[in-house]
Amino acid sequence: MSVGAIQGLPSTERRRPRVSNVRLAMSGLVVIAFGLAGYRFWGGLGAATNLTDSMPWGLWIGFDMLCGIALAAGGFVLAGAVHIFGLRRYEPFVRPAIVTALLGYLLAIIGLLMDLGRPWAIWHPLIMWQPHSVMFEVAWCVMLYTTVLFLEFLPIVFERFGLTGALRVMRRVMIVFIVAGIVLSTVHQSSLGSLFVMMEHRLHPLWFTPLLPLLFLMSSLAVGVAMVIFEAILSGMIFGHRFPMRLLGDLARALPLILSLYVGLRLMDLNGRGELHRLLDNSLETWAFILEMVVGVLLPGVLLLSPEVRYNRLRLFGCSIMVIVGVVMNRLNVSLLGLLASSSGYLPRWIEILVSGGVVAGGLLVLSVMNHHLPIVPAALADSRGAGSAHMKAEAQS
Amino acid sequence: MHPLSRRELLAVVGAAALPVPAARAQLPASVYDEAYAILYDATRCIGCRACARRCRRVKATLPDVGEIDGIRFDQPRDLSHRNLTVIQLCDGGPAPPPSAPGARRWSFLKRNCMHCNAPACVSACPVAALRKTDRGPVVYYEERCIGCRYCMLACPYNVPRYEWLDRAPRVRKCDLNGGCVQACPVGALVDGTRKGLIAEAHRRIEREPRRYLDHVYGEFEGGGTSYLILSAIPLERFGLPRLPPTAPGSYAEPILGAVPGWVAGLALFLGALHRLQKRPSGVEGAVREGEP
Repeated sequence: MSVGAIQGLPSTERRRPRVSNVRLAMSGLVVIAFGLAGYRFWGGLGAATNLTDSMPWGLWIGFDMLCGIALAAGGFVLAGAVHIFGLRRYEPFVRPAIVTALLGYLLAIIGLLMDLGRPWAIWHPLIMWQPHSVMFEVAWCVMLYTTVLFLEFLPIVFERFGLTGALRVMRRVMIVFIVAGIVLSTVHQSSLGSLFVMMEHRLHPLWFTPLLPLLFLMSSLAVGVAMVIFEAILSGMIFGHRFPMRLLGDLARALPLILSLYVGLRLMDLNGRGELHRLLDNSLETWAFILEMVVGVLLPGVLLLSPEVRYNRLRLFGCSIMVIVGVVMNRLNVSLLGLLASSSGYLPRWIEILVSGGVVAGGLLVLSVMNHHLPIVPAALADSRGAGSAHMKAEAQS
Repeated sequence: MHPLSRRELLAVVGAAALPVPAARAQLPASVYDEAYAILYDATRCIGCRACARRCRRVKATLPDVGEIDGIRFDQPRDLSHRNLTVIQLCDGGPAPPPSAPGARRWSFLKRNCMHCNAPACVSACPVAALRKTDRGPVVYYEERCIGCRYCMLACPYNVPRYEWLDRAPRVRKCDLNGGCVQACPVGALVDGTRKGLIAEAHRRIEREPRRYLDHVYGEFEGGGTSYLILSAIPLERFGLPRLPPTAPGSYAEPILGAVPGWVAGLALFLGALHRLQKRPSGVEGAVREGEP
């Protein structure tokens, strides 16, 4: 879900074949995923997945949906920081974050279409209301925020095609979309946690808590920042965009703050529910919990306190990966591992894994094409090898 | 707080009240006093499965074929998309339960949907494809269902089952049609009003205190159910949950109720913050609006 690791821009003849191979492999994965999707709709969920009555949600919900949405959090975090909190310095990160968020949501929706038993009825929550359902809230958030993200994305397209009139109109109303996007995002990120609040009888006590919505929201803030840093450094490696290290390091200061509050909240919650003693168990769940907290929260939180880490490209890159991995582990622990003990067992079938892989690969391919053709990274930061630099330079002058 | 939050939500979204069957999580159990219910007396059950056979006929489900020594039987073990009710046997364990010293140590149990007064599945379903009707049963409406399977995860009794190999899969569960009651040859199943059956259950316990545990399962569990069970051994041994007398959705409801206020407050806060960035006109540092 990062800025395309597969940017196939033929900048030099020497680079061309290697990059094209990556792109070819990813396209192959997408084609395979399409075939497997056909099989899933032909034979039913049971033919393509290892889902059972005791484990009705699997990888497609745990990874495609929960992780896809969490990793899309950069969009609202950066839009809020820049346009609401007035941290204008970080403006160069906003467009990449919004594009990633839009793709993240679209991919999550594709995952959802694969997973729903009756995907042709996906529009039902529009007219068949049941406002007491967390899932109803989730459905509306997905629909509304995807729309808002699309609207936030449109100016990039307008700019690319020189529609200055439309651009001017959009700019005038954009703040409404930005506020709406932030509000919807906080509701949506937290509601994904609320989904599991009804599963006290199933979910392992290390993860079950009425505070899940708050925990999901806080971890999405952290992973939003981490994703932006991760993408900026990665696209720097691949496309040669020059995001100043100073800016990235400054942005990373947010992480220790969010992560430390998060640690405190988790400990407070475990202690308050009288489950702290479980940290001493020698169980799969305890080890998974410790791994999640150490890798995803404690380690990056402590390391990023040091300026030597924050302002060093590779170290910062490593820390951002740790935060991302930690949130992915958290979502998978809540939605899969934490439910295992109360089920008859579940391991994703190869079809589920390949379809998820194909969805991610498709997203990366689209991202690389967009990076090539749309003014996503500000011209000042794009080097001459960079994609679409002509448009971006035009943008910088306007 | 319940009806209020719903009204708020509707107001915020700006839509008129649509025909929504209210999740009745907060209503007192007495609402269903006169509703239809079934009482299952496990101590009378002989495990003949006549009820399950009748259920097959009424609900048109296929047999759950198992093989013993090369001979094929209809051999249901657990609830499934085919077995909407199933008879299970539990060896009660070493010691007789303390509250029923003379009671036997094993029991049959007829499992099916409990038809809760405050059903978690109903409050979980995003499209009201599951509804608690005033007359007692929790009913599934296939044509509304989107197949998210949240009901299966929300149900504390693990009742809803799925047609995993179907191209247009349905959630399957008992609909309290009462066919099983008519089929029972020994009177282990009786139906009537919920209030009447609870009274009858307590009469039986009083009459034969050594035969029963002094507990009517379903009288209070999770806010009460329309399927009530009398037994000699604790039903936890069958894997039935020990539930508090509150509705299972009770954490989710206040969280949902907080959403409208959160939306309004955060939107106002962000809007105010944005306005506060503005400086007097002419100052170059004025915030340009809407730069995405």
